[in-house]
Amino acid sequence: MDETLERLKEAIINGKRQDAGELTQKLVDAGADPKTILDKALIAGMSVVGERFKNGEYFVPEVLVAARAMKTALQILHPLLAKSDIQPIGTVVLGTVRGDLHDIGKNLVGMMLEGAGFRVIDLGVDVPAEKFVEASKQNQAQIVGLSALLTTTMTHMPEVIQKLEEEGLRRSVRVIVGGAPVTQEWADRIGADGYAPDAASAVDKCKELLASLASQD
Amino acid sequence: MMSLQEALTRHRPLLADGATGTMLQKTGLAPGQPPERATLDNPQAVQDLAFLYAQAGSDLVYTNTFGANRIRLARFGLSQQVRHLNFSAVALAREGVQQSGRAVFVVGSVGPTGELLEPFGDLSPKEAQDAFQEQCYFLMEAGVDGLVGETFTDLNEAVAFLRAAQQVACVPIFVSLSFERTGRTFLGSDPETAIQVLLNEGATAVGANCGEGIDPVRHAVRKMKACQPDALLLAKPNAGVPYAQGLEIRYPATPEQMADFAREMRQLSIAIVGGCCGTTPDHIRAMFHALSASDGQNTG
Repeated sequence: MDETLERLKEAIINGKRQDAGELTQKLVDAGADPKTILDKALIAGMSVVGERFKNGEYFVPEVLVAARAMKTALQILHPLLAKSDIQPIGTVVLGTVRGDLHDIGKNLVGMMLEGAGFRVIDLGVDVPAEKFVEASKQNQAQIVGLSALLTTTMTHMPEVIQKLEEEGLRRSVRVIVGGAPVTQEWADRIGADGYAPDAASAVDKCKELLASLASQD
Repeated sequence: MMSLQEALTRHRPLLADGATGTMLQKTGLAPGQPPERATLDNPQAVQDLAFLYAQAGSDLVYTNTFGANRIRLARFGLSQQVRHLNFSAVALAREGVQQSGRAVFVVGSVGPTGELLEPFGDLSPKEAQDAFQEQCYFLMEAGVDGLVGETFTDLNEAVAFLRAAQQVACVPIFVSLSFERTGRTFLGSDPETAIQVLLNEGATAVGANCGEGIDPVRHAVRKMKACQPDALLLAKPNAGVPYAQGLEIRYPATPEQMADFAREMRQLSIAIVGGCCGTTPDHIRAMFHALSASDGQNTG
């Protein structure tokens, strides 16, 4: 069993999608604990991927194929995790802001967050501010992640923050922003709690934000 | 008028145009809407833009068809209008440049599908190639003088464009990638690999556009030049990295900075130089004057 777990972890690190699916199914059929598979293979594998990306050993393509392999495994585990009431480390509501239809970066962030044990509510693209607020209430999200690839749509980010404030959610929800034209300076200017330049750092940032929420209470 | 192929053999760089999307936004295109929308809703603005660039000194202008492939248009419910959007945009560009009275080439712009190709996403190279071929076919039928596939970050998608274009085109075909500050494209291609692959695949000219300001474009074309000294190169950077002034987004590079960049590209013997997001007819005019000035020896 341990050997199969290790092979699944390797399959994810190397982006072997088909292997990842087969090995996960094999583990499940053999009665392995879904939480163990998640922690020891999926999360462990994606954490190696994130490290390699940060060290410049991996580039976006390697991360993308790894994330897709992880996603394939996760789809098999999802119903089992739900059944055994496994709690995610946190909930992130994610979307590309109004007027913007780009989703490659946002999807990658979503997959990396799932690979780190977060529950991700992906609202898709062209998401109006109200929808972010509604979804974060409904899902009791701790984090709202806003993506924009256009200089003309990143200006919709502050609307979401304002709406969260109006709804009295600003103390319980942290906001993280990202996307090609977005900078730390922009994040500070609009009053976001965090910014990440890439999907791997987004995971670190979300964990940090989660910790800051916990210490606030 | 000489053909674009002949014009490319001249020493001075050919001056392309500046931004399309950010300029059309100034004439009322809503943020997030595809620039192709302007071809339908505000054709005069599209024609005027070609006129302004031709008047400012562009030797070639790109058509407003960056996103006019059926895959990208599907996101806006416009995938049934591939033919119409490409035809109209070519006609508007042609009208605009004719108004200027100058001899200006019209080059059909083809941008990425907006979807990730396998193995990173679900789109097969075949599907991408078919969509590009359809668009290139209409651009050719509408009478463009050249084709340019631009702002690619996936080398495989750029190759899909190139293969598609060669199926239907008998005009020069340029391919341009977008590089980040890391020196690579978003999907990790470096300039040296990119130029080798794209020349092997039959590109007339290869280069860099858009991206994170002038520097990444400068570095990419210098690297391309170093490993392929005889290749025709293209450089069309954004007007710097956009920054926020209050809640307004601005592009920092001045016309003078773009003029300096044009001079530098002439020194490097780059074949085509221009501007991408954030550049305006003022930037192109400054580049035109820089390139027309008799100072600076041509080292080509």
